[in-house]
Amino acid sequence: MVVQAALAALLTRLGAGTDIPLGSPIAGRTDEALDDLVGFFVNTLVLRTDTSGNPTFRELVGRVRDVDLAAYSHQDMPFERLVEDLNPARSVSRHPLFQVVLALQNATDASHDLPGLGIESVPLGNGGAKFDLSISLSDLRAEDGGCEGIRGTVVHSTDLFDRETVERLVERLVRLLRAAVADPDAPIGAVELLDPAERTRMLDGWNDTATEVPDTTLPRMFQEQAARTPGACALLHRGQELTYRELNARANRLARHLVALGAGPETFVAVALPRSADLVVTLLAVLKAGAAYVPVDTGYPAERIAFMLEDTAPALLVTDTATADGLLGAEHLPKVLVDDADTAARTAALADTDLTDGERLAPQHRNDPAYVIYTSGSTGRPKGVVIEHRSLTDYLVFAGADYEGVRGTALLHSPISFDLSVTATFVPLTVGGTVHVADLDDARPDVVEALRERPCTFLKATPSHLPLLGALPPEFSPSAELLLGGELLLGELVDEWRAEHPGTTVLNMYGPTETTVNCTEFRIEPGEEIPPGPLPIGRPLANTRLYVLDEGLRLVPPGAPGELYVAGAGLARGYLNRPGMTASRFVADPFGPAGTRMYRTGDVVRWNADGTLSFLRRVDDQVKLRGFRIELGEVEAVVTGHPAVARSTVIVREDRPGDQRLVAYAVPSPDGPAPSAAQLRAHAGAVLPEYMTPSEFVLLDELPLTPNGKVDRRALPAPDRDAPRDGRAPRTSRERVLCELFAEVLGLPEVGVDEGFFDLGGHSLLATRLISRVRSAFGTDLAIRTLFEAPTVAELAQRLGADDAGGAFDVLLPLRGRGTLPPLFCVHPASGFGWSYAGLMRHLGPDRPVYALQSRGIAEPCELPADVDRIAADYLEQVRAVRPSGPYHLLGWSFGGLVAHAMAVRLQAEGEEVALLAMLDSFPREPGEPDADAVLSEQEFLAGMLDLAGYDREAFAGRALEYADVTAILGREDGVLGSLEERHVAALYEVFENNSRLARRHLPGKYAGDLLFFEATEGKPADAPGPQVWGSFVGGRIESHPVACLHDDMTRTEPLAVIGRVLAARLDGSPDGSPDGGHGDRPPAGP
Amino acid sequence: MSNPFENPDGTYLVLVNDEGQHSLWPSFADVPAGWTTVHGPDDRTACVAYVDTHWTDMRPKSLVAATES
Repeated sequence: MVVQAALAALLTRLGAGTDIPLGSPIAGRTDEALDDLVGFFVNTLVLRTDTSGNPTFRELVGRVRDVDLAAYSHQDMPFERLVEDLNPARSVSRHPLFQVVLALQNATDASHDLPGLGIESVPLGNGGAKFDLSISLSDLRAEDGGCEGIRGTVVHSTDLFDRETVERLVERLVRLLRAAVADPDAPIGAVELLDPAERTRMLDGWNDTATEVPDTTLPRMFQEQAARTPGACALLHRGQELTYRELNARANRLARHLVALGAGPETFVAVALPRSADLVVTLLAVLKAGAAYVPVDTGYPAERIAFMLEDTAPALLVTDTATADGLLGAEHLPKVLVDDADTAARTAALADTDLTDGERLAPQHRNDPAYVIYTSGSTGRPKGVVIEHRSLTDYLVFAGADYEGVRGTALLHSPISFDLSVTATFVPLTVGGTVHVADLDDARPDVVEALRERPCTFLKATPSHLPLLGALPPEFSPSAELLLGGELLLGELVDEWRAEHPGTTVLNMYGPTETTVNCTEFRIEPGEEIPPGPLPIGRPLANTRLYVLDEGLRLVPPGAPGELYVAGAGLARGYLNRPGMTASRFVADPFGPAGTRMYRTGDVVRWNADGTLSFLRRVDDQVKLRGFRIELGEVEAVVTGHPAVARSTVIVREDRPGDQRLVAYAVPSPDGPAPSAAQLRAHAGAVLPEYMTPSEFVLLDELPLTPNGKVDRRALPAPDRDAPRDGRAPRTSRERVLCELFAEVLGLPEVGVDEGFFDLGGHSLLATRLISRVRSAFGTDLAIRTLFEAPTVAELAQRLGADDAGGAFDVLLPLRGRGTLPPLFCVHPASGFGWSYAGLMRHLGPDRPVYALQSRGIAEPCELPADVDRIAADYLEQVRAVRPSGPYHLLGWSFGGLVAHAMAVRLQAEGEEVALLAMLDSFPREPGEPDADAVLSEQEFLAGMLDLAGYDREAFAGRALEYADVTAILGREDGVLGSLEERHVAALYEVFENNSRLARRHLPGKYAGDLLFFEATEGKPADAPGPQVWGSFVGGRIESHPVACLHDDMTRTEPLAVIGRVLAARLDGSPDGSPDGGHGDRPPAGP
Repeated sequence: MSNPFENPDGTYLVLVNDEGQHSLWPSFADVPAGWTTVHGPDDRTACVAYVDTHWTDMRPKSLVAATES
């Protein structure tokens, strides 16, 4: 029991929690009848130890005794029965109910004397560890029976532990036992688990980062650089280029202007400017004046901005005319408009030489604040982190020496209200590099051209940016260093990017704003292999010390989780106007030089054996989402602040891998009507920045609770994202394509034209993804601002240009006109329309153009084609206009399959390569089968038209439909065909009838290649023809994939998902890819 | 994992260093070198309130001395 108490205490100290179940084998010979029986009756008990409340060792042994004695009184209960009754969640990777075994063999060595035999005990391995960890101990007895100590063995799973770790564990167990025996009344949390050498290594070895830093400030470092390289390019923005001399001169003039208006040391200057050259000039000017800048993101809600302006009480606000107009709460502030003629005139009159201390309101000091950045606060109030020059200098000196790429061109793309941007804004300017101000969501040709001239060498971004970076032109990717920080970084995500950029060093960065940008880094050199999964955050930067501490402020051993505390030069002064909060976060450092402080990060980390750190989680419910730190409590406070909400809770969900979203759950007030999700969203959006606004609001009758009364976050339901949405259906081809793109990017089955992108859970990174999709589909560059202004499909379609209804019936309809891969051409079914193929796009990847071919004769009357071969020839001409030579990828649904086949035959005859021929449930006329009439009656066709427009045809059951009916209904429905006249509907039927007739007459030629066939399996007679009927017309293999749907439903969402997956794999050159598809490989049937 | 600085039922001290910087400090732990206890032991709310009332100028004392000399 003493050993059990010690082992339980040790496991608790190493991070296993306070409820420690241990497996313990027991002889199972309670019944006297067994005494003379040879056999194995061993049972396993689960002995549970409650280590909570930091008990003394004596107390803990008492608890163990009570529990164990109770357990022994039921020792005959078979373990298997226990598992059966408790029915815990099973896993092949671990033993149920306990994973650690403690066995004590207190039977003395039984000596066996058998006549004529020498007998000796030999330990026998059992071939593999049955448990994660299994500790067996036995007494060592002297001849006279006196105890001579305890001997033990540990068997460990080598998948989980290496030998060294287990040896350390045993050492710590012995150390804990010694301490417990020496002082049983000390709390178990107080026992020192580290040996002195280990302690020294953790405190001093791994924190050996002291580096000399000159006593200087950013303005001086920049001025010295400007003196060294006056003609070098310092700043680049949309064709505007400033040399160091020019940038310094402009900043000096503006700085003098700011000083004249009252900016100086210990004063704040709010800066609300878009990312631009003016912005960088302004930041330098503020610092040169000796003041600290306060970045104001104009995208923040008015209330938050007003709070920041009130909190900092800035001496000045620097902004531009356009921004100033939209800025609320700044009316009373003295403003400097950088684009104002008056400002230009005043600054032009000022000297452009470097400011001297005499010119400033007070001499500049290294302890003066340099900037204030606001972070999310748990009490519902954001808090301003005050960073002093000494910390900024320390970081700049470190970064300038550590990163090679800052001497080339660094992209400044992130908001300056986020301290990620400090690196790209200032580090290059202290070492002679160029700052290129550009948006990552704005791959304008001039930006790409500028990048081609001055290749990007350095970029700092969040891991969430990686997919975007992969989708951008290669010029955006840095050649020397890519710094990633702000959220958990996965090895596989990095390797995907590194595969394309093998020469770039990638660094995983970590650091709260309170420690000045970053405090650790993990370098991944080119060619260096990294494991998949979360990557370490690495080692401390220069002049930084890291401690991983437990609840008692003791160092935790390597491998065990603890909270990270950061000490050193990077520590902020504190939180502006929040002394109490500062004193509770920036606390006395018991390990560093006397009188210094350490910052407690709220992050749970662990030391790895090599002195790198791994991030595990947040200590509280503060989360990081897309690089932004969010106090869930702050968001909850806002949601609960809605008058119709009684309680709420907010969590981060990841229901689709990699797609983290903030979801709010609200319980409506009992009195009054329940609020709608849209109302709550509007309420939260008015107070919180976009990144803190939940993307989903779920109304609940009550919040699920855990037994101890806390909200049971795991029991909160996933938002019903697949619920049917009301909303108008797309009316034009452009809207239809946009709906598809919205749905693809948002991960929704469908999207109505009036639903807002952001209301549906879109956030800024998804928005950039949408913008790149729109660019591929329409060739139109969309600014993110446009999406904010026109967030619905209907509005966006208008922004993309006047929608041309006629274009919807073009013979060649580009569903996605852009992309570098060979396009997929999809031939319409008998109806003549090709829009339904839009649903394929999301499955084929953004780089694959998709075109639909549609029948002639719908928009304008014309002579209808006389046979399928002529249609094929006509369409090939259209196809070649966008793709003059092969390989060609062709697909057709129903009638379209016949045309696609005819096109393939024709292409081959002309010596072209057909890389893919795919059909959705198309069947040729069987040779010898009579030439029948059209399969659909006019009535069925008209009903089909209503279907196409999303109208429920059941409503017309039992009534004869007429063209006029259909035209009227379609017009009323404001649907796809709303703008058509009655004669168009008549034309549509003619087209349909003609296509059906041609299908019946057509005898296919012979195509010398493989056929990929998707067969609709529902609603068919048993003897219906299968894909093998193509045997006579296909020279290669016929590969068939069954799709569980009706023939007419093949382009609905779910069937297209099945088809799209197989198609995508085939187009990408890999075999199938679906586990259930492709079972029906059929040999070609001979003619 | 709870944090020793966030225990609403805990007992705390308020420490001050030569720069006039204040630190909340759990009373169970030894006071680090270079820090002086100026308040407590007391409950957390009272200690935070003490800091809010007494640490009114958050500039480090060395800076104040340098700028006002």
